[in-house]
Amino acid sequence: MKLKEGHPAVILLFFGAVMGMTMLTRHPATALLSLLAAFILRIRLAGLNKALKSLLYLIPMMLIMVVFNSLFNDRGMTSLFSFWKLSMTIESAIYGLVSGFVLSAVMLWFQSYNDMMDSCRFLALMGKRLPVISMMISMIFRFIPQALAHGREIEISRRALLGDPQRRFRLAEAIRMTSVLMAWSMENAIETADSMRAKAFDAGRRRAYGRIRWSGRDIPALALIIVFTIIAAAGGAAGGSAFLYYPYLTTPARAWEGGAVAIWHFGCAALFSIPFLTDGIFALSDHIRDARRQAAPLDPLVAAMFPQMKPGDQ
Amino acid sequence: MKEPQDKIAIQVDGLSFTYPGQDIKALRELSFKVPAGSFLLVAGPGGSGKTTLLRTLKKELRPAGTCEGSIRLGGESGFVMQDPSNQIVMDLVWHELAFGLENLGLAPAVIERRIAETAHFFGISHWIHRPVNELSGGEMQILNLASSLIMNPDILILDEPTARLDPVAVSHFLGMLRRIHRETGRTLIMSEHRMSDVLSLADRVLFLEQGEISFEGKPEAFAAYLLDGSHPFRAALPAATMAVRRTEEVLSGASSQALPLDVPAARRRLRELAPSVELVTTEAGAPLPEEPVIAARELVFRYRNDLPEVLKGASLSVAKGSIHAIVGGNGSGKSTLLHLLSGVLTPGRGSVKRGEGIRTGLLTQDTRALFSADTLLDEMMELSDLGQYSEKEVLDMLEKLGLAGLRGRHPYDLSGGEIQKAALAKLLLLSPDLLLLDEPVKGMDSASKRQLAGWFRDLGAQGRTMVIVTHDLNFSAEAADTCSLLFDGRIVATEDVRSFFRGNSFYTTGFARVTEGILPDLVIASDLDRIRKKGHGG
Repeated sequence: MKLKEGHPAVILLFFGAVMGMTMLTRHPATALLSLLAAFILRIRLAGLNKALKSLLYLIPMMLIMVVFNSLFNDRGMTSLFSFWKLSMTIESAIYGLVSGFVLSAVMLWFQSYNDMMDSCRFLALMGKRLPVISMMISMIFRFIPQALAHGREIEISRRALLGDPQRRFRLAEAIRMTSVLMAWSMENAIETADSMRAKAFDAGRRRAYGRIRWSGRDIPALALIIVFTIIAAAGGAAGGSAFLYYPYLTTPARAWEGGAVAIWHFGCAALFSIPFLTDGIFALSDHIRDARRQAAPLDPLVAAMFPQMKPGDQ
Repeated sequence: MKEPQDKIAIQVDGLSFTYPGQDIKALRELSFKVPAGSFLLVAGPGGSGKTTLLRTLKKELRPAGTCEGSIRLGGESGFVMQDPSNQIVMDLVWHELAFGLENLGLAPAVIERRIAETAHFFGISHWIHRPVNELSGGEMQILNLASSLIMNPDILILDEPTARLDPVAVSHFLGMLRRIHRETGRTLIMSEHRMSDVLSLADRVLFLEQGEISFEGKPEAFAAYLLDGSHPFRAALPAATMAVRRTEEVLSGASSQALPLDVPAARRRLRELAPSVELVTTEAGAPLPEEPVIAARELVFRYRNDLPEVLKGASLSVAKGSIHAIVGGNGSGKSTLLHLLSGVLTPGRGSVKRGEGIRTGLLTQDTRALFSADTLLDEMMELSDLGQYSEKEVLDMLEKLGLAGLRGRHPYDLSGGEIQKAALAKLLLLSPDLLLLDEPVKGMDSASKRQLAGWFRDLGAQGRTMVIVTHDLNFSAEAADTCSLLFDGRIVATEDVRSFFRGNSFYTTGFARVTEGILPDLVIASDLDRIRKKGHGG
């Protein structure tokens, strides 16, 4: 995925725009579109198996939302059935379903965001603004796995010495393990502090260094995000994202004016597919470059020295 | 060379150091000079003041206390400490490399270039994006070396940097040091109690005993000094040196030639001498009882289903009263096997059968995990209800291990070797029948190792059984009866210890490597006493 290799600001902007658009609307078509795109992106990033596994909790969640919304919301004209004092309507069930779509889509987008933006990329983004905080977070990321490993080591050595603790001693044992871990971590921290001092941390001239650079490859993605976000926003502002559930399902009249609904949906669909569009753009440009190289004649000197070489070999 | 040879990198005059609240000086009237571009080895037994001296040299790390005398450093200094993991500050390798340069406030372009240069020099470019907690101890220590050197110090101070590494990582690390010394001409000062690999790298030795310099000079002269005076510290000398020296002694006294410090020189010398000596044959030890205390069959284990198998069908049987060493490379699954034997982990497939009524004790690798009390004595008494032992037994145990004088100390203030012994004491107070020990000699000097080996034999004679997992081939040859090699998740060889080390040609003890094919069957230090002049009877 080319977008993943890009500048973290671009990634942040993309997911910000996508999740924003998804959460702003209750339009069933937009919600479905977002869910679909998010799911396909999951397949690309994590593989079909993991993407399908996420359905295991997303589908029950959607069902719960349908049930809850139809139980506690009796608005809507089309009654399905009445149950005790509650009446169930199709409208409120569909509203629950679409809310479920939106929530699932946002969750899937967020998983992809996590895959694309690891902690260090996010930190690199804010490193220049907040050098102290970004350094602290970096140290925390160093500390947590170390402390967990130490915790496991303590648990194993205590269990090896004492066997599994009896139930009534479990709390005492946990407290003791925590105190060992604290003492150990503190002791380690003293050494880390020494190491920091040995590396001139006290010099007071600290300046954060990041490895993230803008490159020409970020421009197409950035341009697409901006353009499609503007299109979708314009469509939305003109009322294209509006949809009414109560008293019965309708697209309000003003959404049709000037094709606002179409503009909104085009903007959203285009925005959601940017990760694939950028991949396509780069594949196409690579292809064109290859073709051009094939067409270019070989340097005569090279051709004379390496007679078996054909244009395009490099 | 970076500097002209006559330039002085470090000049120390009349340096004394006293820790607060202590009467005895940790360092007494030290005076020495280190010429720029030299490699100084600071040797000495544990507690002789090596760390104090090195930390005093680095202004930022000078311990609290009174410091007298003068120290002059001819340039900036970098410092590498013992523990590979604690020195690392940041979360990613490149970030750790950048840390010191960020502190100096250098421009990003300069930092980028220095990282590139350093990563290239150390051959670590392919892992600069990795999180540091995924690195092995050896890789971490290379990173610590790199992140010190990246700040371009004139002097590099190293405080026992290889004490916590396995042998392969040690030689990689020392190879790097040699390159830094030879290719950049920087001044190196390194303390070490395990000298066998270091002595031939250094060009000067400073030998500290109880805070005083008892020897200063060339490494060859240092070896001769230790051997001539029958100094107890001579056990730390390279096997190459000791084998040649002993052979020369047997043949009418030491020769005038300088003692060899490395294997090729020693083998050349031994080849000349070998025709006139022979080895007295050993009587085979008493056969071990066949009755196994613990038997593992076809153990298969992985930590998580999506991770590769660590063990792929390892089988092992340990006889009662034996000392069984399991050796193998880093990540070969030695510790995992030990944890499975102890029952802390359960195997995915295969079985572990323990003898009837056998009480098992396990000592994990980082023994600090065991300690939480404020004094050593309290720590030892913690499990007195469980183990039903009295304070007197604890004191006897500490006495036996030479820890009695430390009973009021905080466990974390003990040295690496002392903390290992203390952990072992705590385990033994529970009197288990089967001891499973993970790297019991990590960080110990050679005298303590020898003491421990003797002590293990006593325990074996009492009918206790020991399984020792270790990287230290010399120690396993000294201490164990049986040795198993773990490789690729399986036990690929199990033999009595002598045949095992004789059968291997490079994964073996220092003595076996030096004498292979010249004086066969010379495996451990005590075998040196079996060298006789030919035709001398014996």
